[in-house]
Amino acid sequence: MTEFPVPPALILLAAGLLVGPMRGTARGILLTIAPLLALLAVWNTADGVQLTLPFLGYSLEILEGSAGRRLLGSAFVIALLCGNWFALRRTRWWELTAAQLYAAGALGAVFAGDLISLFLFWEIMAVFAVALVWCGGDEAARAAGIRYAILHLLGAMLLKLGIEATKLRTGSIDLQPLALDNGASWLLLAGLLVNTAVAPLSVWLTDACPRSTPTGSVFLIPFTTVTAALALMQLFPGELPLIGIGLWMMLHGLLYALAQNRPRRLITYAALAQIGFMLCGIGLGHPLADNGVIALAAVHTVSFTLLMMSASATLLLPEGDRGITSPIRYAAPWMPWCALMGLLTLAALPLTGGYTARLLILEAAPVGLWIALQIAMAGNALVALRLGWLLRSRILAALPAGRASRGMAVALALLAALCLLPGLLPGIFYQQLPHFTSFNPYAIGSLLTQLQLLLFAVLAGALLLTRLDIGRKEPADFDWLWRVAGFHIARWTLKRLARIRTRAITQWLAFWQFVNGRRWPEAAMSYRSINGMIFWAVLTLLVLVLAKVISTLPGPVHSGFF
Amino acid sequence: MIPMLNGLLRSRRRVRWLAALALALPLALQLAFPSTTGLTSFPGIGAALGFGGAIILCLGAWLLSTLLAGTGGETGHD
Repeated sequence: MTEFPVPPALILLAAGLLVGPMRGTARGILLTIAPLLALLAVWNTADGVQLTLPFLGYSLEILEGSAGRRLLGSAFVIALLCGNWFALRRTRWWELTAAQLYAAGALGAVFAGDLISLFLFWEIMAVFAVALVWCGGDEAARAAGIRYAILHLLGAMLLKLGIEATKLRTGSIDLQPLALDNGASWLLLAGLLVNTAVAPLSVWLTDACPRSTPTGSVFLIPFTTVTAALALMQLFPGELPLIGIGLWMMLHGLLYALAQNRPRRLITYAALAQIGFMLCGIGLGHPLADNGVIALAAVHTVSFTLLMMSASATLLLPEGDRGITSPIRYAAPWMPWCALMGLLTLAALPLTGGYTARLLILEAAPVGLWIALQIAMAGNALVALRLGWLLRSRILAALPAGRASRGMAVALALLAALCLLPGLLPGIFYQQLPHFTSFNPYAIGSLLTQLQLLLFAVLAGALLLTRLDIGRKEPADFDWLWRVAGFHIARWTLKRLARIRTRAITQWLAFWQFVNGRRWPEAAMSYRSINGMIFWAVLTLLVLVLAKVISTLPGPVHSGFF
Repeated sequence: MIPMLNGLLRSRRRVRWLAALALALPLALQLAFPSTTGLTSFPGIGAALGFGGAIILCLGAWLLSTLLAGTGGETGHD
């Protein structure tokens, strides 16, 4: 550890500003060296507050270290580095600048030691995430960026109100555990939940991420939700409502992931289910579960970057080449195996990071939650199966040699290796976690239960997924409420209330229509969409009942691990 | 490795035998080496939860797809 700690976010901020003026090889070197320096800075950040900054009478703790932050920070920097290599020769400089600044905001939020620093870095993240969405370049991307900004503005307002109220109530702005017994805490929680992408406000992720460029989606998938989950863990560990919210997120994410027929959208819904798994772990408030949340967050960052790269790479092909594997030269025969590692990690196959991370949360869960989480694991296996099926013929093997650069190959190989390492060397991986544990993930009972779970889930999926014809016609999500129903209700109301249709009202309606998107299918305008809302009302009730039942069941399945 | 896998999976009958073996092996191993910790000590609990859970989720996704068929998919990016 050095005596002069450097915030990793500062290095990436500087790199982001330098990307534009640099060209060619110099830009490539910058986009490699800057993340490596940031990684060094992450590892050099000792435990406790390392750097403070006076700001409006407050002493902001802009750099605070801990084992969990270092692990998550490392995962973020590696995801950025691989994303840079993947995108370097395929995108414009402003997208790379936005990506560096977005990652800088995420790293700053991870290492923030107080609520105001967290909020400031949070806003940097939101601004440059919108810029990344806009890099998509077409009308749909511009509208999605505005919707993203609106939802994050709502989240930021709630978070800011929560911070102000917490400061008034406790007199402190420290990032420390709070009880959910007052309005200030609930406001903070609401602000964080918007960024965690809890349904019905989850649509910013599933809506915006696939509308960015193929390279932009790789940067957008891991950072915001994982940062919000870490903030939730620091502020509300052991709060039972988080278990119910986590179950709800898993159910929503898994059902919608299975119902998608476009790989990038499917990956974003699968990411929601992963975050739901983390929230359940946070709600448990057990040291083993805390370890599991950090471990899963790190593995999630790496594996979802890999999966998004695999899905995005197919979009870099010319339209006519998509889905063709045989007539063109393979870039490297081992490339599809890298994508397979991401799928196996998502399915939590033993010997992958997905297994060793999720098992920590499972082992700390009470009986009822253990059963619910096991069902979610089966759902993840189904999602991996479906994603593999969607990518089967257009995975990276389809990339012609000229289009798969060396950087892309190295990025994929590195991410695939990092998906496997926590599974192959669990002892070393667990040493990086916040609490000491001597837990053995390869105990015979856990190992065989997991193998059975995966094999039988895949069997059920193979029997049902194609026969039921799931995912041929994608269903609308909760954004239908304000993007279609809300718009029509507002237009109808305004038409009747405003006797004189002023220019301002007409322009406002036109803007809202642009933001909502103009290319909705006919079915979205019909009463059929109301079925879906009834479906979700019933499911919400079921989740509430399930959460209540789980809270009455006895505590951890196992004990005595510490 | 890929040619070997291709050869192994060429016959449908052989695939079925391999799948049956893969499904039976963890169950047999669990009976041979019983665990004593918590719910994992119940033989076949992983299989039951995996199969049952997957069926529940598939039916849920099917219900969602059917009730809301074609109401989404506003963009055509992918």
